[in-house]
Amino acid sequence: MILLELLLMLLVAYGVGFLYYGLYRNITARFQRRFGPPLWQSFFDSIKFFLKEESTSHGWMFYLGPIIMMSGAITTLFFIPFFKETTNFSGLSSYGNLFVVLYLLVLGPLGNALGVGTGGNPFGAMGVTRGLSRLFALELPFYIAVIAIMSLSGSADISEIAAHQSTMYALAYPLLFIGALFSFIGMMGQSPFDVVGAPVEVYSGPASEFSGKFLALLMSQSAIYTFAKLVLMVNLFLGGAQGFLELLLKTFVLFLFVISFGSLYGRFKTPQSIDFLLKVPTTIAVIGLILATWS
Amino acid sequence: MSKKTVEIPLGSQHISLLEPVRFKFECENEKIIRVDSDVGFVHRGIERACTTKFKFDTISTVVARICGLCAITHSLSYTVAIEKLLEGEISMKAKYLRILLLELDRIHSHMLCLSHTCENAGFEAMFMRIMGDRELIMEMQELVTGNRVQFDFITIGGVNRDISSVKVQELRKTLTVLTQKIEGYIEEFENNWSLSLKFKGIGALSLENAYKFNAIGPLARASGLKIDVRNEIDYLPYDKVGFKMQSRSGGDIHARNTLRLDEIRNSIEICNNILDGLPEGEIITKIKGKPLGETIVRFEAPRGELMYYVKGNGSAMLDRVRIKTPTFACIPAFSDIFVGQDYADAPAILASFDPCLSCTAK
Repeated sequence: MILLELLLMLLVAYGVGFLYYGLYRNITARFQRRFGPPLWQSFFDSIKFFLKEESTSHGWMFYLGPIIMMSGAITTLFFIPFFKETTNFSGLSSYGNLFVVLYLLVLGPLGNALGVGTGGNPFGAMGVTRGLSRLFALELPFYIAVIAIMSLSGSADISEIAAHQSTMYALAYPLLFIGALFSFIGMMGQSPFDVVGAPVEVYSGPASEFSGKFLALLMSQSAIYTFAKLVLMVNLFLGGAQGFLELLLKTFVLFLFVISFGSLYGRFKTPQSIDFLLKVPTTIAVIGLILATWS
Repeated sequence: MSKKTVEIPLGSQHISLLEPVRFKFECENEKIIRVDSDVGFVHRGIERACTTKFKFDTISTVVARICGLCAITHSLSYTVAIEKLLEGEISMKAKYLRILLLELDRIHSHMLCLSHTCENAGFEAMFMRIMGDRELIMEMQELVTGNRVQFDFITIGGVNRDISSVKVQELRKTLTVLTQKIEGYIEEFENNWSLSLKFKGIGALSLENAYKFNAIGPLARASGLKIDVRNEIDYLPYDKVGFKMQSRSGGDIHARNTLRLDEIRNSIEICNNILDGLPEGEIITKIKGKPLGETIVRFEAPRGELMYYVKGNGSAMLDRVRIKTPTFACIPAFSDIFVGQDYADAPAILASFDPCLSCTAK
């Protein structure tokens, strides 16, 4: 039964992830006064790539990188319950709490670094270096906010945190939410924190050397990971969800905000990203932590 | 290349510049410490074709194909050179219409550069906005010449199409809309914090280096070097249509962007003045003869000084057509600016130069 549930969770994340990616391309296009591609274009692209033969050869670690990233995305998804106050679609969340998820979130960049590092592509290596340099600054405000809400909920269990919110933490503790939201925009690879895969600078960075099946794997990983991160944010700050409709609504609103924000601002350079993340969101999150502790 | 550095190519095919030029950056971390440039990837043999394949009265159409962006400046430079050799005088109305097209061309070229710089700096929404508004210019060009690009409007003795009063009204309306858009962009480029992070203080060319490397066009004027061929020539009555020399002092991407916006503002003013005071008369004057002798003609293309050397021998075939394009003249300055900058800024710096390799690889 648990296997069936995990499979369903994976299918939902895969489908909704690609749907959101299609929406992202269309909504961004509208922001830019143009028509985007068909909604499911990215999904069809990934299927096409899965059917391609692999022609590059960079050694086993190059191929292991995307697999590690995919494993990280799937495992992260399984440890995040979709709904609160029910065991349906809770996956493996009863076997691991928020700490496990926070550890697993690092698995993606690690797989990326291992795979791309052996590829020898200077643009890929530059993208990974940028990503790893920025990682600490990106995580700090998020971790401060997460520590605060774990303390407020008295638990590290994600479904309990979601259930504990009579008022959404995003409304009750807005500073914590804002601090975490800046990190989240970066985690989603959105502008202004999209220096890792800047297309006009480093040809999409880490993805530049991958093609065929492995590029398809990266696209699928990105779709699943996007949905997993959205569900995590909904559980932590937006009071979780009680059904699919509520989950889709909340994740979509969050997603829409993230891509809208990305459309308004230009790309920061790596030092600018680190500087901004350490100064603004971290300060906001620390103030939020202090206020939450006092209240 | 030392062991601590990495060599990163920008071109010959790069997403930030879809033209055949290669800059090889030697980077320490992301800091550019040395630049090697190569511009010899394509050679179209246009100069040779002008003296062997085409008669002098058709070459205006050939040289317009050198570049899609400054086609009008190329055909105008060549045509004026032939008119000088044939000692023909054209009507004032034709001169005014030539300036009108030249300035419309400058506006759309500058807008393309601004949008491209924004795209390379990661402001894709801004890129699309400016490109969308650039359509206004394309429509105006189509209204006047019949074509959006590659308009063979200039001919020996004048221009090919007259402009009706209805078209004048349409142009005035569109120029008013464009003025509002440009004022908005000036406000954003001057005051937007996010834009200033990527443009202010980045990719600066000092006044001394602008002199040293013989920089021309907006690149030089953004560094405070006040050179503009429009101020020096007498083939077109620029002094009567409100031309004002624009310059900035920063020399960085921000200065180049704002200088281009200032120039667009002045070009709109020139266009409005032309429409207000368009003289009566013929649009074309018959000029007879075959070019004999040699001459040099200079015009201010959107990227700087464009020079044509034409030598005729009294027959329909010319002896020599030599074209000096602005981008080629600026390559040494480009290479110098990159040194010491972050690689992350390189695409935006490159776009702010507004290089035209189509002109260079003629």
